[in-house]
Amino acid sequence: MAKILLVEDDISLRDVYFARLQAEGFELAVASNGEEALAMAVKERPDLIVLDIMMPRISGFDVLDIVRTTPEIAHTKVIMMTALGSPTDKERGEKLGVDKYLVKSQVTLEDVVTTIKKVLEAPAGGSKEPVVGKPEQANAPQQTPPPAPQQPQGPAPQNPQAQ
Amino acid sequence: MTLVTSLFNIAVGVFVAVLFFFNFDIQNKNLLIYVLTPLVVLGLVYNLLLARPLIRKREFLAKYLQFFFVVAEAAVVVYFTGGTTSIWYPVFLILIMAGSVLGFSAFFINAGLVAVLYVGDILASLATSEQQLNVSSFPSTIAAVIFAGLIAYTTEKYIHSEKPEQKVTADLESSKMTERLMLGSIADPVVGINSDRKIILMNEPAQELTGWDMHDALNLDYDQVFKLRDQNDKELNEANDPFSYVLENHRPVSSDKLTLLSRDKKRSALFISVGPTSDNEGQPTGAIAILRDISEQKALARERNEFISTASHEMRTPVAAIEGYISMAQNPNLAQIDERAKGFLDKAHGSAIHLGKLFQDLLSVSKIEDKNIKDRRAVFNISDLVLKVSAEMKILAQQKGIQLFTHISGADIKSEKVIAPTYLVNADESRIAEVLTNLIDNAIKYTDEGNVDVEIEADQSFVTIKIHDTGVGISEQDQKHLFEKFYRVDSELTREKGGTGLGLYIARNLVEMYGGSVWVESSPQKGSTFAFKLPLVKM
Repeated sequence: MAKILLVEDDISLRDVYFARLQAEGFELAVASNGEEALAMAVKERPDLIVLDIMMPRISGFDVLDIVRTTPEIAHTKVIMMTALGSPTDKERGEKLGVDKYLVKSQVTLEDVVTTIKKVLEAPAGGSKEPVVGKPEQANAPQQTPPPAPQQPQGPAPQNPQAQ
Repeated sequence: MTLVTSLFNIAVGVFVAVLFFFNFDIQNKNLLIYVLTPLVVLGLVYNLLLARPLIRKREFLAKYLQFFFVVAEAAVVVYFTGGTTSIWYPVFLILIMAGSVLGFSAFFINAGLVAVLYVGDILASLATSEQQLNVSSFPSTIAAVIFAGLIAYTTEKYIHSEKPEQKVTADLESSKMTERLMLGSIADPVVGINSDRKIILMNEPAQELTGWDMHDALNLDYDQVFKLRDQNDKELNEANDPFSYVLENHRPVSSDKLTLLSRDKKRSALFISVGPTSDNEGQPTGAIAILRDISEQKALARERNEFISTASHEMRTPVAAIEGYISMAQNPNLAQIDERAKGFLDKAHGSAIHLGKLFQDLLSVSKIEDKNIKDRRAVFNISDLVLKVSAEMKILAQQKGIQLFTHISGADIKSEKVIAPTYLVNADESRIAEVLTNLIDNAIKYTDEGNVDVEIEADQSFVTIKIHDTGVGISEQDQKHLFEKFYRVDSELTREKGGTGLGLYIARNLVEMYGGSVWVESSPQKGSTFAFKLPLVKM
């Protein structure tokens, strides 16, 4: 089962995600700030990092930047899960190569789970460069995740017209 | 009063005419009578009907005419009363002088003339049979007659023709005083410029605001004293300078977007209202501006919006946690709860989601009102966006058991391949997506059976997106207020469906920001059509 690194400084929310994702059977590692997150990322080599942005010391943007420029973990998938909902913040995340940008309280816990599964299922190579190269394509207006996460190799998440 | 005076004057005129008729001696064919009779009648008519309005209009010829007629009257008096030595001549002079002094010249002269003629004539005919003018005294008679006219004329000139001038000066004085008083009393800065853009007046608050003394600022170009800057802190140009606009178009204009740089480089956010000024003939003479320092209000508004923004951000994490915990409690794989508890948690979950939506909407509103939305305009094909958003919303519709169709100029995208025409608009794609999602979401929310149709059509200059539903519809009364902030149709249904009352307000603001408009057509129980249009980019 895939390994997920959960980076969140709010204890309750970390608790919630941990319990829910554990129930899905994921292997989990947690970090409560940016430094810890980077250390864990290198040590645990997770398949996916769920990353908060506003954290003490090193922000989520910095973490993402470092992850993407550190060769051994550069291909780790990253979902940003943040209270920063402005288009500017979203654009910044996308420029840094985030796989999916979610805004807290705008998506439900189940949406988060669905998104995580979908990002994990997406072809490994297909989620980094294209996102960096074509940020506007990832600029989906809504975070509403399409259903049917079970389909392996299903439609690319950035292409809603395929439905 | 004027009516009575006029009637009296006319009566006097008639009386004088009658008097002349009876005094006209056919045997005594003195040339003077033939000349004087029509002159006196003319003078009467002139004094009665024309002199005052003409004199008021400062036509000096009118004065000379009056002088001429007074002379004629004096001649008549001298003729009828037996010469310049007659007692009735000074009486006549005193009467016209008194009349002139009092300003009722027409009235007094006529009344006096009648009295002099009537009494003088009777007494003269009783005392002597000699009514003829003594020819030897002819030069002194002419002098006396002209002297009578001069008396009337000079009295009139020195007392009355000077009076209007004095009045004008006095009016000017007092209007200047009033002006100063008013300007001084207006607590907001006021500045006046002439059509050469020079400052002609500035009140105390304006001097304080700019840091310029009135005496230094007078006759300077206004933009030297009033250093205005636009929203981007750039100097104004012809296009956004309210003074230039007013001087050019002679129409008032106002703005709350400008800031002013004072002499000591202090910045003030301004509300400025400029209006054109004109002279008596309506010719433009310049402009008057009332300014108001709204720095404080602006700062307050900014603080308020910042507070809403921060609060909404800060509350997102705990709300996400609440939603998460409830969600886990509802998940049978994670927790065991009874049916009642599940029912309660379902409601709690709905409220948590609503709260999250409310934050988002509050943030959007505070940004819109702060005009803080970064203009992230780009040209994009709105057909693609509509297809994308409606494809996403289709899932939501299916969950509710209704159909969502998209029509692009008649074509139906249910079929596999549709070549959608390209409609380019210049706007922020993610914002327009927000509007679309909002409208389609509403349509689905309020439709229990039937379908929602999204339609795109375009004419020469606009592309219109219409979202039809077969839902509950909206009464005409509610339609008017639908796009207002926090307006919610008050019914059982809306309370049940939830919502923040901000979605349509945001939609309207966003669409209008990009030069479009949004509207609704609806009939209760039949369904509604929400539509918006945006200007097309010409290719």
